[in-house]
Amino acid sequence: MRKKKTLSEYSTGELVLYRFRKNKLAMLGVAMFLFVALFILFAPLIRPYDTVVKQNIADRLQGPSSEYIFGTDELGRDLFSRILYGGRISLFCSLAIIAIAFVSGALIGGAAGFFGGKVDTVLMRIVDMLMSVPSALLAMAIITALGNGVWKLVLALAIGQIPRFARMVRSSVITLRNMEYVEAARCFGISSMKIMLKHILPNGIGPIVVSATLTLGAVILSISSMGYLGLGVASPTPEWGTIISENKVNIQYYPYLGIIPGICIMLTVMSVNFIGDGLRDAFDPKSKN
Amino acid sequence: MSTPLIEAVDLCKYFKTPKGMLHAVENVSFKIEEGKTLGVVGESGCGKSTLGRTVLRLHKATSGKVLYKGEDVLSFSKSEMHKLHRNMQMIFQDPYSSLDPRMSVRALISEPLSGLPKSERMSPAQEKESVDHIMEMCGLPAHYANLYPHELDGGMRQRVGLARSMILDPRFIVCDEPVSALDVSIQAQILNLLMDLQDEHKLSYMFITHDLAVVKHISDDIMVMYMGQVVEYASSATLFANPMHPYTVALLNSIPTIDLSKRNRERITIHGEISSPVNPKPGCRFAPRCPYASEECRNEHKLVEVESGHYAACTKGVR
Repeated sequence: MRKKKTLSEYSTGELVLYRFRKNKLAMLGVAMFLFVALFILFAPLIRPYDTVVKQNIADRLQGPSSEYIFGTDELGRDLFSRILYGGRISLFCSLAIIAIAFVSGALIGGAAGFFGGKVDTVLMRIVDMLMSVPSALLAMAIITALGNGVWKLVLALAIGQIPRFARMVRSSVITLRNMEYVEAARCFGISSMKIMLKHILPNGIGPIVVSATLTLGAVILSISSMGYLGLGVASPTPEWGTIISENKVNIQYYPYLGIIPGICIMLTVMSVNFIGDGLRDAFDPKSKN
Repeated sequence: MSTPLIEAVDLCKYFKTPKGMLHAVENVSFKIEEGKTLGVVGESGCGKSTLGRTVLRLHKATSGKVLYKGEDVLSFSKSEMHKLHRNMQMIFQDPYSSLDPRMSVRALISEPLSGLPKSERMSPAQEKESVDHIMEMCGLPAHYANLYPHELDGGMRQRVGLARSMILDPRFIVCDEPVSALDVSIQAQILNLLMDLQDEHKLSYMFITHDLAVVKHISDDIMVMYMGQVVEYASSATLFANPMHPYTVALLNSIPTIDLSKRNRERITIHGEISSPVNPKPGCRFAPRCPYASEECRNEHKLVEVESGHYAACTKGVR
């Protein structure tokens, strides 16, 4: 009883934060993400940039040791520095891609679902057009048109991800729009914009956030496949996916070359996943505690 | 006679469907005086809910007028709509889906206040006070304010829905089957609460239901609808004592009774299926199922005042 009293004094925002903090898996996700992100952010303090490209043929294909924590690659470059600096592109570009795709997909899908009718038809046909082109091909076409560059790569890959978000948001908005509480809100004279923000967004965002976190892994890999095709990030600039692909000939005998960057990708994807899951639960008042 | 609080004149609502026009509400007229209740009865799909929603402009009327104190509500511009929202409200059927699961009881009840134009907004302190006041009025304990809908039972949820509609202090409330999703014992509580609120605040209700026992209990006037048309419209006492339309007669006959002497009464059953409301034929829509239908029934449908205040589209049900 006493606990309930204290709980009721919190505002909704504080309650969400409280629930999030109590979720062990989500906090583990935050810790993992911070661990990876801090290393990447402070990379220049740990290793100077020239170690990334400095070739030391005498030390090529060295396993992990005290001098080279993660070992060296075929050209004798320090894998640790390459992963530190590569993470800048992998992590921040993929987050940017997801953010752009998420926001524009939500806007398009939200408008289509909420207003229906002609707006829906027009917007969804545009999305269908985007969807009908394989996303890798679409990204290649956009980069070819815009030219090479990290930000152009981000844009190209984000456009490829918009349709899935737009579709997902639209379908959940359509379901929610017909709920009686939305009709009730109309009856109170609440504006469409407010209905979207107060009713539809909080009720529909859960599965979409989770799916966004799941897409993150796929995006990191597609950045690297673009790099492999010579679009976007090109060697010798490191990037997690590119590191794996440039070392793939040696992976059979020197497995650490694939395993270590792979673990970095996995840690990042997993941490973001846990965070997304935790957020969804935290926003749901039905979740316990 | 003074102007009634709410008046509908020849209200029509058609929906466009791929097969043609669906005539959901056709030429419905009624008057509700201040402090009175109009019961709207009819089977599922007869257009009662559509009528309620059209009156509140949740559906755009095809033609006709809705007058609030003589002002045509349907012609209000966007900037005048708050007059409608302030004075005319709605209570929904399903207390589970009409409350946003992510909002606390306090947030739910204060929600209508956030729809007011800026000049009429209250300060947070005033808002809190009026929520507390309205909760007490609707029989909600104060500590419920921070609970969420899933923590409440059906009756309490419906009280929250009622409190939410009451916070703007409306004059008229459309009750769309507010008790049909509740247990019988809780139905009575909610009905009594509705009636108490009506007495205290001189509220007018349009009470939509298919439950005849409920409608008899709460209504002053009753309107019986069949497939979008009004078949009979009279005061509650008159309608139950002296039903005229064959459909009304059959409907009243279907009420279960505990009176043993009536146990062997002649049962009137309606045969056949409802015909399609899409592009209906002119004339009485009940005609295909009516035992007394004649050729002329298929031509004309018109409400006639058979006695003072008692309108019926047909009097063949009288025997």
